[in-house]
Amino acid sequence: MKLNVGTKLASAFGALVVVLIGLAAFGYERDQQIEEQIERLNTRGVNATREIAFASAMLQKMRARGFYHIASTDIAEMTRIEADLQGVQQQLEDALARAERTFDEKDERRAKIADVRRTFAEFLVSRNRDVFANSRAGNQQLALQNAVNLTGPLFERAATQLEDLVKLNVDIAEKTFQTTRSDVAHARTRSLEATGFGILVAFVSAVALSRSIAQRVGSLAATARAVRDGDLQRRANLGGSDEISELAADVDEMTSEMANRIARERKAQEELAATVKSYGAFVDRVARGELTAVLDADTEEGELGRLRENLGAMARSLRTMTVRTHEAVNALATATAEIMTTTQEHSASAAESAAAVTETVATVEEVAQTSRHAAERAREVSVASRKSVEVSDAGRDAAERAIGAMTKVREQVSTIAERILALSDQAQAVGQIITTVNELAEQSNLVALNAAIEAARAGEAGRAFSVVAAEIRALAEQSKRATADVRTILGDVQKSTTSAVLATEEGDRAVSGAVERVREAGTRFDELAAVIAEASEAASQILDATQQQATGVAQISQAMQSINLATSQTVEGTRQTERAARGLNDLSGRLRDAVSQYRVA
Amino acid sequence: MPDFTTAERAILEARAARLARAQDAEGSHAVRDTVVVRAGRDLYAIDAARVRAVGAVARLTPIPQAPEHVAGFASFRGEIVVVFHLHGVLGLPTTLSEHGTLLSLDDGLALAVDAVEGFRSIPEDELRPAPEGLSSILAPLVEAVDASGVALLRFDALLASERMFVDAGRSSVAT
Repeated sequence: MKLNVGTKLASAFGALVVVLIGLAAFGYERDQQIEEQIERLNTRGVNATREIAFASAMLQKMRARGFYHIASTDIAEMTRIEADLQGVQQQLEDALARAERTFDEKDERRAKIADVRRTFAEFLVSRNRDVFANSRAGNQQLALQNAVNLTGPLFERAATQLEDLVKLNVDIAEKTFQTTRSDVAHARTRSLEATGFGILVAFVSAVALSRSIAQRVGSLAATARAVRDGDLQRRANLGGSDEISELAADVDEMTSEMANRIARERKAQEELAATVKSYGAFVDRVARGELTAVLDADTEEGELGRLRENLGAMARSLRTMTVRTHEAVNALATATAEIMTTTQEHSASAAESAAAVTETVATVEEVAQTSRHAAERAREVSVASRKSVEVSDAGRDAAERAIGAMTKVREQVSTIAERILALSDQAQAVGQIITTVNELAEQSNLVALNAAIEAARAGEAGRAFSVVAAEIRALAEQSKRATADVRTILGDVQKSTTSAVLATEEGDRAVSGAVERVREAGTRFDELAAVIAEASEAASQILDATQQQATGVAQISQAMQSINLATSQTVEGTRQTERAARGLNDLSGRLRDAVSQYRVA
Repeated sequence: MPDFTTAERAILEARAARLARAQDAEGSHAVRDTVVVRAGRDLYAIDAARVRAVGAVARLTPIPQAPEHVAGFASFRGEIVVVFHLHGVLGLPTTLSEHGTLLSLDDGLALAVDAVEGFRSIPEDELRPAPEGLSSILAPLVEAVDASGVALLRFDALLASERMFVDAGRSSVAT
């Protein structure tokens, strides 16, 4: 069999795989065994012990119920306890059956369970016969004696047998556990040994493969690096019969062929360089501006020949193009000069326009300011006229109140006049009374005088009477004087009342005049209010108009700002155009200079 | 003595002086009780004892063909009296008005005066002799003049005056 690289790799990995599979099979088998033992431990140890313990508990329960039976005197209660005991007995037997099923056929524990069943059967017979029968018959004393002496030992024996069974079961489980633990330790040791063996196999395979493949491939790679670096005489010369040997032979052959080809190429390159050099000289002359230069005679075939023809055509085309360019540049220079002139004019006019727009913007701003002032004034006027309306209303109210007050005053004046007239009448009445009093006084005086005369005629006898007469006369004189005074006062009173009546009449006239004037003032106030209302309306309209005007002026201002901006942009654009035209002029000059370098004739 | 103002004190003093004077007059007893009448602008005193009464002038009934100092007949206290203008009797112009006062005398005679000024007791020592230069009619009629210029008439002379007579034809009324 031929040992190529694939075979070697396959054999090494195959050995490793065989070792690993063996290890896995061994591990699996041990795991099976251990699992089986654990299962047995669980089933026969734990489950069986639980069932037997349950059976023991049921046994204890039965004995206890037996004593309930004895203690009870009610037949129905006894029947119920017996039925209950039937259920407990069934549970006990089921538990024993479940424990028995977990053991093998030949297990000694089956025999033990059979012993328990026998003892239990005896216990049941003894109980039903010796205890329950007496209990039902009402003979509690005898039933209790029998329960202690006959049934009790049977119960004790069954319980002891169950305990023994549990103990035996635990011992067996202990043993099974010990066996399982030693098996597991053994299996772990085997696994470690097998793993060590697998690692050894892998290491040996790796070393062998490295020897066989990597060293030789490294040698071939070194040869290839040398050839790449220019050592075309280097050969690999690897022995053997695998793919690496074939590859080395191919590489050696390729290296020889490459050396031959490089030699041929170098020679062709030298010839090409000569031709290219002559072309380069031609292109150099053309580049320097000698558009009249021509190539040497046609010596080349193929691509180079075509290149030579193309170069010639290019030189001719360049000559034609340069001539045309020259003409175009001249035309361009003329046009550029014209453009520059126009642009400068345009720039000047744009600047003027910008200045004018700026002035206009300023003027519009002033107008806006003025219209704002006007709006403010109009607002103030509106407010003032509104206040005036209020004032005129207040004035009209005041005038109406004044008319009311005047009317009241006139009424009072009339009352006063009437009272004064009444007073005058009374004064006249008093005058009449005074006249009467005066006459009385006059007559008294005469009487007194006559009395005095009588007294005087009586001589000494009338002396005393004359004194009385003198007194009466004095009284009469006083009365006359008093009446004269009263008359004077009455005259004054009448004068006063007359002047008072006149004064009240004048007052009445004055009040009437005042009322008339106040009424006129009220009318004036109404007219004034109407005028002010009109003025207020007008002021509101003016305010609206000025506000609209302000808005309009603001819009104009904004528009002028936009125009100003646009004009600035236009000026800027014109300047840019001017600069561009100047650049174009320069460019055309440079173009003329550049074109003049090319000799075309 | 309670406080009095100067005016009150003056009044009290004047009253005291008046009372003292009255006592003096009473003490002397030398007074003439008169009735002072006014005729025109002049005042005349007539002895009160000779006057019966004074009264207002009632309706005067003029006497036809009588001299102008005879005012006429009048009814006074149920009597018909012959009324003379004092002014006329004294030889002065007669200007008696309807409202004058009648001075009734004895014997159905009466004097019409402009007004009766009042009753006055004139002390004797105040009387002065009648001034010189009175009219021939007046001179025998004026007895004296007092301090205030009132002429005290001689009543008897007055009655005796020829002007106090009315010639009523055959049946003379006057005495």
